[in-house]
Amino acid sequence: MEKWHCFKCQEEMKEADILMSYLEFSNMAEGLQCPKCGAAYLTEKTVIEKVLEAEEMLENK
Amino acid sequence: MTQYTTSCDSCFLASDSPCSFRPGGLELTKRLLQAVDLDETSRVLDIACGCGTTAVFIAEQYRSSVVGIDISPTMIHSSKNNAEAKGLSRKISLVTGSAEHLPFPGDTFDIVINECSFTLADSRRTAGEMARVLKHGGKVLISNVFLREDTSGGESDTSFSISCLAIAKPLAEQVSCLTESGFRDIYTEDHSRVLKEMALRLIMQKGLKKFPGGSRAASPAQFFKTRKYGYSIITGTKP
Repeated sequence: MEKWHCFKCQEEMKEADILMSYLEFSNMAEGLQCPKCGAAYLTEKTVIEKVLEAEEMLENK
Repeated sequence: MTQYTTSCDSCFLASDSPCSFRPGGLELTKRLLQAVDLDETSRVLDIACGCGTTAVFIAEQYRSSVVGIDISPTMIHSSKNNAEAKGLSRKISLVTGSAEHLPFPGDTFDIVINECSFTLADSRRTAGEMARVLKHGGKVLISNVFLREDTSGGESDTSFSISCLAIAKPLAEQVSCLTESGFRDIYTEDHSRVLKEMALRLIMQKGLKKFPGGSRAASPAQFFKTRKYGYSIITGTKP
């Protein structure tokens, strides 16, 4: 995977399971996390392939 | 006519982890168990025990004796492994068999529990068998998917590859199976939210965009647009 760095700390982001909450539902998603400040990013792949689908389902769209 | 198995082990959800996608999981089981007082003297029958999650939980938590029955030898094998791994083989007995022909004498159990499978077999026959094997005063605890009667085209989507959805029945019909078998004090509680939680896990953990096998409601997201299905717990007492 391409290397990403935390915008704030400039630390190299590590792959991690990110807890996401939306409309009172929570689940884990694959993402990146800064080992220093804990900031979490989702990858474009996760957003396009999973989060979009999950949002539509939860919103009954 | 489409034929469906009365077991969960052919469902695509069972391909990697048979019990991890059961709607509501162990939390809903705990809610069901709040309806009864279990202790080490209780005898519990778990119909369609799957990989034994509930049987193990009851034996471990309450020290009750549990008999698990499932029509799938694969599931029974999995249950045995789980019971052995927890050191509960003396508390849990496992039998391969059908819910419609329970291989136990009448008035044997204090509690019968049946999760996510009541309509997989013939519900009337299953309810009759539940009533037969329960002791007087015994309780039946069910959680199951139901078909909403207030939706347009109120029929199950028979193209679903998930057989419990394909042959789902209205809640009133499931309740009537119990009352016709003599159960009283029937109580239902809506837990339809757990279906959305399950769909969310399917999308986020399995990356599932389509249900295998093809369906008019082929993806988890589309499935909920139909709003045809709900999930409920049902409890009753044998007088």
